[in-house]
Amino acid sequence: MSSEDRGIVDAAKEETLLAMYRSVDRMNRHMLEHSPGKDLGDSIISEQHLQINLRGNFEELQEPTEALD
Amino acid sequence: MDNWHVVLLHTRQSTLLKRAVEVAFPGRVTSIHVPGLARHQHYSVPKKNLLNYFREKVYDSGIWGDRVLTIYGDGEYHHWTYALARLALEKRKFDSWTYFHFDQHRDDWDVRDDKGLCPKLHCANFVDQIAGDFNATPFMVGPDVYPKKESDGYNIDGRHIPILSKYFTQELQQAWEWTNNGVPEGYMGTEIPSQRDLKVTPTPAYLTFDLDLLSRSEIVTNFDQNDDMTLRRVCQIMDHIRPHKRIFGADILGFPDWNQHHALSCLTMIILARKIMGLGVEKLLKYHTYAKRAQAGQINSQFRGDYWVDLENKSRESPIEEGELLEALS
Repeated sequence: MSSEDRGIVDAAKEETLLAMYRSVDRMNRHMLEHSPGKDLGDSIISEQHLQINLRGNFEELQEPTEALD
Repeated sequence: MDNWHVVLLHTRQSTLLKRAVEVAFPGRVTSIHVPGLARHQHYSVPKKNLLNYFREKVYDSGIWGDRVLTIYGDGEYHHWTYALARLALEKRKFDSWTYFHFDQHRDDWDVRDDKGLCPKLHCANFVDQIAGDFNATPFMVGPDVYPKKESDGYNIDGRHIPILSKYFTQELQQAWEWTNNGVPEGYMGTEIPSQRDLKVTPTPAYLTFDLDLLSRSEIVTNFDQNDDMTLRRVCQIMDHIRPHKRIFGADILGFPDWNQHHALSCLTMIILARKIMGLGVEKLLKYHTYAKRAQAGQINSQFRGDYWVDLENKSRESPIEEGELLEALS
């Protein structure tokens, strides 16, 4: 992987982590304000799904790929 | 319905969805390969950058004069709808219009500045920004209900914007002083929108459809889904909306193109696209029911110890093959 490619991957990783932190912040706000009538608000579950997706995206960036090597 | 155009934004060169859409709508499809919209990018973008990117890479004045149905990928990037709605409005002069948000989630949830604005857009904060920036009336068609938030409405840059919801109707909003976001019992999330609310909202309408609104029996997405909402129910909801509205643009998303091998999901999307465009869907719905029966058989085969399909599994096999799908669509 060239240093330029590595720079792009690092930027994408940073972007993914920042998206993860924002999602955790939003999830905490939902925890405080979500609908008491439900066990877990739909929005809390959606943030958890987003975090799983982001983790998958991050792990994919960790793996060396043919295109980048 | 003749002036509908389908724009498919894809980040992979050849996908099952692309082949299926081109067979289903011959002569009406423009596929735009936009690798810049791939995963790992644009989780959060300033509004201006998003609009500039779409103007440079996606907008074509020859296409956007028609009514455009855009099909794009991952639900993590639902905020692209902000740019797509703007492009659809480009050649139209409406004082006001209705924005229908078909989604399992509300996407209007994040920290705002004092004026109610967000400097950057992402998948959880763009709905009220569309309403505020483009003078739209938001109409929620999904299961997520927040009584206090909805009866308060949005307050953006000193303007009050009411929020309409298919379950939490204006009549219900005004019937009580809602002090918290507790949802009344007996709510399924599949209710039909109120005729009164449909009548009082502006006639021009843009529709965005996040596929995670649908049950896992209909489609694979990478978010949580509402198992009570079938495709036939969505068609019924559309039948109630259509007499009151003139749809000038729409988009469908939520079926990521890095995970597109599921032919039943493609069929669901094509039927939905036809329904939005006002085309007949009865024949395809019968085939859809056949495919779902086959899927139910695969789910039940776990009790016989055979190969079985688990709806929790995001990379599950489809009950129909690509060849069968393309034949049914052609």
